[in-house]
Amino acid sequence: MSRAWKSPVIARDTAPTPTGKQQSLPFAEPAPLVTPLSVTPTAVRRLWFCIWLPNLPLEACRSSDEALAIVEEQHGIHRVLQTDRKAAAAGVMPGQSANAALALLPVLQLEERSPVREQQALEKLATWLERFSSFVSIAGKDVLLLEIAGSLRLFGGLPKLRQEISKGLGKQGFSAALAIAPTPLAATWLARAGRRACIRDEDNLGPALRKLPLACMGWPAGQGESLAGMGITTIGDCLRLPREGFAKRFGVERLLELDRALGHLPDPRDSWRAPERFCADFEMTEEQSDRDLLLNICRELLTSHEQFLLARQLATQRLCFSFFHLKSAATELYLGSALADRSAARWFDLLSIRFEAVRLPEPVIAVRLRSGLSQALQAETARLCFSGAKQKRRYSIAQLAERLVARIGGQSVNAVGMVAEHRPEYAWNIQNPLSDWSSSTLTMKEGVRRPLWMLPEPTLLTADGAYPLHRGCRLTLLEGPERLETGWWDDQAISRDYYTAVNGAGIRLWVFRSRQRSPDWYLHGIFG
Amino acid sequence: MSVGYAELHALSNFTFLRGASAPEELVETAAALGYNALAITDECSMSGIVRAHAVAKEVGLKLIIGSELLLQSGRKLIVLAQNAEGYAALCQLISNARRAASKGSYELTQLDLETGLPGCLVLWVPDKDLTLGVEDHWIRETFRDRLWIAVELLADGRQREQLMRLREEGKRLKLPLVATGDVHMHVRARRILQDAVTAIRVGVTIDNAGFALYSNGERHLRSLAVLEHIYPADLLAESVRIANSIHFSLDELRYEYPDELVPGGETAASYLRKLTEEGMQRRWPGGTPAKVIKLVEHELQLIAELEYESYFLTVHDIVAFARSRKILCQGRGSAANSAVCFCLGITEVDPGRMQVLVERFISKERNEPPDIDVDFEHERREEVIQYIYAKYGRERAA
Repeated sequence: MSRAWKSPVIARDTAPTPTGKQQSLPFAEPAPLVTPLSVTPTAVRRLWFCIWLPNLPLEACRSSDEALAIVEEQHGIHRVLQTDRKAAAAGVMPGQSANAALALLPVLQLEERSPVREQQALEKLATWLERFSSFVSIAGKDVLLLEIAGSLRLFGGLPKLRQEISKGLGKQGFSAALAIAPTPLAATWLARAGRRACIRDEDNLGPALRKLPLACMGWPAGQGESLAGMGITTIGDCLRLPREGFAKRFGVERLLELDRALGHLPDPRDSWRAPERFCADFEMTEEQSDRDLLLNICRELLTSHEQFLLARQLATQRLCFSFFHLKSAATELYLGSALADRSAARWFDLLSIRFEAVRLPEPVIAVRLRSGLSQALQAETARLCFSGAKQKRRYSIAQLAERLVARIGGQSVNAVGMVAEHRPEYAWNIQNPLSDWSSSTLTMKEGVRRPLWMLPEPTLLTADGAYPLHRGCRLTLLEGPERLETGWWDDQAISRDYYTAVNGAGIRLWVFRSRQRSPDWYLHGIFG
Repeated sequence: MSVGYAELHALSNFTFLRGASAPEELVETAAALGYNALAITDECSMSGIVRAHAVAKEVGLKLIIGSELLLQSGRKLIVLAQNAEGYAALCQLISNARRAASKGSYELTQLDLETGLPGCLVLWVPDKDLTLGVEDHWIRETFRDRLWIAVELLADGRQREQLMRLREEGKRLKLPLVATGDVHMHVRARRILQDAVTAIRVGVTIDNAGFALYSNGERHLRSLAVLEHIYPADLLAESVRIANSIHFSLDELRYEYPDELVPGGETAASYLRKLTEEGMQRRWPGGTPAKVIKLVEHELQLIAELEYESYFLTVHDIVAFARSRKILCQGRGSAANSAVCFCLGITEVDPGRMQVLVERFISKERNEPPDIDVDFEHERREEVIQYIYAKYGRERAA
């Protein structure tokens, strides 16, 4: 899905556009900036959803109960950059020195700003956002962009999509400014300007952008000041300037930026791609040995694991939990499933069975969940319903198998598999119940009927003339013969005529008459 | 009272890696079992029929010429040549199908069968679905009253159901049913070889061949008593009825010589006579000896009786080309030393100066085509070959 949606973006970006003409513009005859350039008719309409995270430095920090302030070193002094609500209530304000802040609130927790942590938070968010669009882009240190034109229908329209993203961000503890526009830059500027804008039509883009203050464009401070000195405070003012002069004074780059924002120039973006294997850590604030709490942490990890796979339409057959301790080596717990799965609930069921037997040598300081190779999610086949059980839960055979393996161990549970072989004795074998059944191409030979219950050895039947007897009762032959004569290449060649027969009690039997040596009758299996 | 049986679906070992018995073996066995007729229906191939024909004549069995065709859609048809026209249509179809695909395979679709294969009878061999889907109803429309449903009961345990469902299908499609045997070998014991070639075809060892192998050896020529036990009498009788409606033997076929050498307004005979007479004047400008005139007259009469004019004209055409290019050539062979050949410039043996008995070379009794070999100088042989291809086309030259 993602690939199919991504390509039009690339196609548009590389499509022949009047780029060459525009780039040479500063050196061509002067034209007012507002003169619409030959507008590129875009084959596919794009809609960009911008998420600006102004408080990212603070929010990327794991929240604790203490009041928190993020500090950053400026000219050798640590100054407060952002504060949480508690700290703000105590009068701690951005720009204060760290010492001043501590003086105001002695319990204040100070955290040095960490660009790495912020980037990680952005990546985590980008990964989460992939469920809304196949095209997510990390634009700068605090901006995320989604291309959502293709997602609107799926999510039930723009308002709903917006609401879901906004809700999700809030739930994860991020405050964001959102804006929607046909170009990524316009969306970014609108978001930075704090306009809750939603512009779907390119025609409305110009008027909306014109009103924006220059600050939202994030241009270098010097340029902003010199523009302000010229009395230019909005984008609209900028656009009224002659193009050539503007380019000379502030650089072609700025001019092209304006063109991109207005949609006159293409604006290619890199698409964020989350790693295909899931790996996530949960670090605890203190050592924990409470097993219920650990299980809860695992459940949380499993939930994000499920979401990770869901966004990719993948599933996995193997998981590994690592429980890290302060001194001892990490305790590892591997989980396997017969059917590739992603459901957090099902993995949690497996985990809770296995976790009982896990011995933790020490309290745990962190938990890591790594998923095995993921694969495309497969449709489930049959389901078994245990009607006797009161609970309404239904298990597929594969689920049942893995629960049994989890409970009584791999050696004690076997699966019966089929073998491509005409001789009934060799037409099945014992298989690992967790092996991937669905990948096996072999299915029962079409059209043949085999009893589920095969006798270990065919038993000789007495016969009454041409008819076999079973427990003294003459069998009625219903169907047949199915002649099997094969296996000449080893010592077990057979030549038999198989029949479905019914005995006096109405039980259907699978009998055969040998075509080798003496034409004796044998019982080989019993149908239901 | 036996109704008899004609096997209309039998593959010989000319269906490579499927059939396990030689055509001769099939024909001999069918004759020994008292079959009314046997059709050799190799898969999209006519390769086995000449051998089968020779033996069938010997043992006095009616041989039917046909082919098993697997269409791209997965439908399997058996096409039987009912007469010479049908044989030509079937051969044409096979050539086209083989040429449309890489060597060793073939491709056939509905389009290829649109001609309706005049002069052919068609049996539809149902697959395990036992039904002719709507997308394949064109088969019924194309062949209408020349189409049967082949019922192959091969002891797979579901014979009764198969027969019942095909009877219903026959009623639904208004098509008659006929018994056929999907024969792959002449006797049951060939099963081992059949399994072996199957494993080779699939490219696995025999013990890994699994369901690629047949589960039993029923695909052999079964005795009439066994067949009567397995098939309803009406299906067996239908096979005989079909066989009796087929009147075609390879004996009817003759070589078709090119006829485009004869100019308009002439027959092959008159044109050959004209060329010969022209040649006589060239060879004997002072007057042809009476002996030669008599000889030529006699030969032309013989050639006319046996309708070999086109053959002589073809050789003359090739030699005339070589001479016009100054390519050295010389004719030889049984018919070469005739007066006509000398007059046509094919040979240089003057019949006036030697005694020849043309009947030794072209004989009414022997009814074999005449034989003229022409040697060309080897360095320029290719020019002649290219001339022949250009003139007669790749389809007709070899």
